[in-house]
Amino acid sequence: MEIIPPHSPIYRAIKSNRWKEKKPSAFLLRRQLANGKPEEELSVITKADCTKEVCFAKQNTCFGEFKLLAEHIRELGLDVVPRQLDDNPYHAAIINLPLYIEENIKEAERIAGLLAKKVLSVQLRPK
Amino acid sequence: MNFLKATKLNSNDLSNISIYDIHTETTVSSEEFAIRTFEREQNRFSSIEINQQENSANFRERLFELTQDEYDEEFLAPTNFAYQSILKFLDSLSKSFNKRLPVPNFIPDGEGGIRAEWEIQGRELRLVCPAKPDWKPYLYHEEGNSYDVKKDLKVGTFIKWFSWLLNE
Repeated sequence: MEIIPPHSPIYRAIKSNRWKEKKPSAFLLRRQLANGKPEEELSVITKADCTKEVCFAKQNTCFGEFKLLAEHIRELGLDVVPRQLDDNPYHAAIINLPLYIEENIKEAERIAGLLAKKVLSVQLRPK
Repeated sequence: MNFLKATKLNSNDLSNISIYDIHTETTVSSEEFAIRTFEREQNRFSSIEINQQENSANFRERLFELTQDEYDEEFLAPTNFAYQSILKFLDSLSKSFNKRLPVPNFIPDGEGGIRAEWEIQGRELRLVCPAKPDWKPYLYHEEGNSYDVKKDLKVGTFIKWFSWLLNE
């Protein structure tokens, strides 16, 4: 498997305008996907040269990106790996996060807060 | 009562009791003192009511700003259940503290739930009210490397940890 280099920037899409002020929410997995199962990996991208017309994160609604470094994510005992999609070669995933289920809430919240503290900068969506 | 010192000037005449009022640092008659005390208590209860109303209004105003946000099928708007659930906790706060309370950041969780997050001097509280009854509300608290979660949250527990947040 291709390894994402330590100094590679990793971008997490800002799906809510309010995540800009309170970042931990951006780093929680979803409790339940459309298939009824909990989300297992946190979607990120390795390139975010977004324009007004093109969102590299392929979101319908996106307010920008949080920028982190791969090595900082790994410092938390997590990993970030490529997960290329047909329509998105820059798609990747943060793995080893605790699932956001009843038994793991405490650790899921903790690690979300720690990831939020690793955010180096915020790139807002071009207008 | 620790707010008055009474000096009996004439033991045969109770109306002549003189009282030192530490609020105004003056000596007054017992009748005057009674009037002042009554007015002070009246003002105190009025201020409690004003604080409660202000807190409640502030919380609701900020909370209902969420309805103006953008949502889609991938990032869901908060449900009515989530609003009702979080209002129950916020109203309990308004009624429990006689002071102006910090308004949290309200954040949609994208699955129909609402988060209220406070951070004061290194202490963090995250109140999470999910979209539906199957998912129970919880409170996460953190200070440095100390953190925990209170699941299936009750109002009393929430008030206790809010006092901790305020360092009371």
